[in-house]
Amino acid sequence: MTAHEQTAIDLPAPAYPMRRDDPLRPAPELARLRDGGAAASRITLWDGSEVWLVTAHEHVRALLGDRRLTAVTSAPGFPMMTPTSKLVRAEPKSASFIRMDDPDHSRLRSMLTREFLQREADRLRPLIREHLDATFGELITGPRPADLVQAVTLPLPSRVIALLLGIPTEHQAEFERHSAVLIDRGHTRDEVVAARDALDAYLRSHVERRLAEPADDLVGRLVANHVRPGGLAIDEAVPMCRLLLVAGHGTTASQAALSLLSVVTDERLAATLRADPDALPGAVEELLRFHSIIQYGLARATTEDVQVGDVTIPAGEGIVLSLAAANRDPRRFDDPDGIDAHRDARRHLAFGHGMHQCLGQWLARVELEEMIAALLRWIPDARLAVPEADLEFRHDVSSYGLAALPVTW
Amino acid sequence: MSGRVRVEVDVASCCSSGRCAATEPAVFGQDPLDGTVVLLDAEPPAALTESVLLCADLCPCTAITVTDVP
Repeated sequence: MTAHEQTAIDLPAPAYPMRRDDPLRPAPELARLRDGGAAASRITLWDGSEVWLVTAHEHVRALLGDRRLTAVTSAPGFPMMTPTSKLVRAEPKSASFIRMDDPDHSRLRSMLTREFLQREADRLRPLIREHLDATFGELITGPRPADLVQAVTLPLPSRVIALLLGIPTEHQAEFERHSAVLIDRGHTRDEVVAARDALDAYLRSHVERRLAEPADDLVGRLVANHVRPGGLAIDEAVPMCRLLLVAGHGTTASQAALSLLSVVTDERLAATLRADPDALPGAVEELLRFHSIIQYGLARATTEDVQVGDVTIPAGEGIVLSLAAANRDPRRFDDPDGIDAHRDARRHLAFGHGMHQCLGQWLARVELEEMIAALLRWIPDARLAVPEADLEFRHDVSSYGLAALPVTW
Repeated sequence: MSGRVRVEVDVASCCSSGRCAATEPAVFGQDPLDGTVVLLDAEPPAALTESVLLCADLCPCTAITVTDVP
């Protein structure tokens, strides 16, 4: 007998993901489950499978740090969030360390730790600022309205990752095109496979290039310190590089677009940032909390029975941890549906928690701070060029974002 | 816990997120090579207790333990 059958009334589990009724608020059903229901409830995924959903900040945080949960997609019961995740499951050898447990996960991730320390992210700040100054300098002499998504938030993260990896400028367009297919929900299985294979082939040639000609970039150091001595196979280095691209491109672009939207539409936020530039890092944390772009949450499976509040989740079952619901939990954040640049939002779970917490979090913070600062510096009177109701939001595989952010001044 | 506390770190569990060093640099540093936590002050002044507790909370890998000083 499964836990589901133990409930007195055998109602069908609600479909997941649930629908938003406000583009800037997680689905109301999530809040109802978080605030009124059990610590874990049953949901039905796109393929008809049933898994558990956890929504309270306290429980989501605890489970993300719980080593009895696995991130390996081939584990029994693991939630298949999209047709693409089912595809990845069929070929586990293509998995990156985000889909591994320790010790494999730590062995691979630790090879990159140094590259993503706060110190390294800060070191990139002047280059990022210079790139943004060039971008905005051109933008303000161009036609109005201007789309900040196409001009700023999509290209910057891709440029930064290409810079880190040492991808030559002339290959960047190809690189971005394949990356876009992998992060967008609207592609067929065949298109996703083709884009992933093309990207892997490109990244493999890049790793091989660094084997032939050493260079002082991330891939060059990975090759010199780990591939050459034999600690890292080329077959492991390729998905590792793909992870950096896919995890760092769409997510940062989405969070940046929504953050800039808040800056141009929320007069109180903009006034705070104009009056007090030191408020920017805190405001970025608040915007990470508020927008929670990993809108469908993180998937895990239990490897043992796990107690979550009043619910026992048996071994071998899938769990979806809703970061969006946790980040709007009124038991953790007062007035959670409002943006308050002065609140201490640092306990948000937008970067996850536990050993898989976002490796690129400091780089993301630097990029977000610099994009917001550049907008306020170059176009302090920027305003939306269309009614807010006409904005088109995107529901990509990995993140929630904006199709376009047309502004004028 | 509002008085003084004792801080312990478990470098083996540390995943080098750097949240502690960014939050309370008077108590936590980072190894320059791998970013793992370096404990700078195992019994920080009471004024830092709240901030140290926040660091323990923010640590993604539960590498920081804070106990009351009796």
